[in-house]
Amino acid sequence: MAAEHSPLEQFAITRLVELEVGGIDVSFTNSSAMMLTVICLITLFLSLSMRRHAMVPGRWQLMAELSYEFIAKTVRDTIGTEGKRFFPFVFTLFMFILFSNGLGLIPHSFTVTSHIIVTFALAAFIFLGVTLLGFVRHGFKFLTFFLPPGVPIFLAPLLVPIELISYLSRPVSLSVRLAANMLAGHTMLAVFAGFVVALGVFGVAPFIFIVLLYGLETLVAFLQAYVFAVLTCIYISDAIHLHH
Amino acid sequence: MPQMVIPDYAPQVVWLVITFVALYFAMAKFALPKIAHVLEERRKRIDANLERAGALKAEAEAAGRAYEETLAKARDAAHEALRQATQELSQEATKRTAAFDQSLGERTKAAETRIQEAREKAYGEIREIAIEVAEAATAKLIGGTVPKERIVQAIDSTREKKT
Repeated sequence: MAAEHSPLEQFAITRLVELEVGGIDVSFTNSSAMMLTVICLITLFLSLSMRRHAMVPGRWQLMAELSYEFIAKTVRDTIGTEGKRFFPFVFTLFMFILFSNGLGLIPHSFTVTSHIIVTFALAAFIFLGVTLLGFVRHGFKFLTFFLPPGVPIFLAPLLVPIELISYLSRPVSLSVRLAANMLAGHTMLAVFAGFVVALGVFGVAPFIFIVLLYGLETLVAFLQAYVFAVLTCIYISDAIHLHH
Repeated sequence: MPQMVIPDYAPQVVWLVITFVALYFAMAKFALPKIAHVLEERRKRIDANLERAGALKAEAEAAGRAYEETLAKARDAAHEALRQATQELSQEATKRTAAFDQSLGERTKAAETRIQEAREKAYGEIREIAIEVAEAATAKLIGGTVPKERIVQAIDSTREKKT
């Protein structure tokens, strides 16, 4: 565990309600509370903004429609018409990560996606799902994914391991990218926030830096959610179309 | 580092699964179909309006074409009527000129005939008078009579020389 005023203190998991089911620790933690807040806010945002479902949308309805069309377009562009089946999943994924990242930026809140286990669980699920999808659609032909067509056969011993490693590293890169971005951003904010207090009057300099960094982190929060969604789309597309 | 506390992994994953699945169903069953429905309705409405606008435009164009056609037809008819009238009038004028020319010629001829007749008559009378004058003059001058045939002969020959 971190020291009392460590910049890493903000990531600490605290059990609000201790629970255990079948020998598994299912305690309701601050992370669980944040996840619940995230899904409630998303549901409230989408249902309240679409409540009047006007022909000419208002501001809130427009935001809901824009987020829908933004992800719909991403899915359509990367997967094609077959991507329609995966749209609800990609949309849920994007909104969950976006709201987790966004809410985590509120001071003294908790960032669900800063924990590697959370992002890894998502990435692993996507990885397993995509691999399963590939085998269901193409059978054992899916294994040819590791040997692109038109490659001379004598290169196979070299190329297949490379492709395999790059395929297996997908969940790692996917999860580490998101978690590391969140972790680094929030740690930096905490470190410079400590400087503001420590430097007294001269704390204005790190304070200005924090304001700027906060803007950058807002961008990163959105960007990482988008990157996660887009990469998921690309993986699904790979499994469906095998070779482009 | 809190991210590395293994005992904290289980509750996080369990709650992630619970909340994510709940959110997935909320999105897939309620929120997304509703937004899709609204977007679809709007797209349909826009398409219908565009279609109607296209139909109206075609209609307006057809009306414009019909108007142009009618206008062209009317112009042609006017041209035709004008041409016919001009032709008729010129024919009438030619006819009347010809008739006038004819009557003028006839009258001129008649007048000429009358003049000729008058002249011939006048010449005849002059001959008679000349003969009588010559008869009388010879009688007075010579005191004898000269046969009438010679006098007539002399006068006619003189007249022929003059003319």
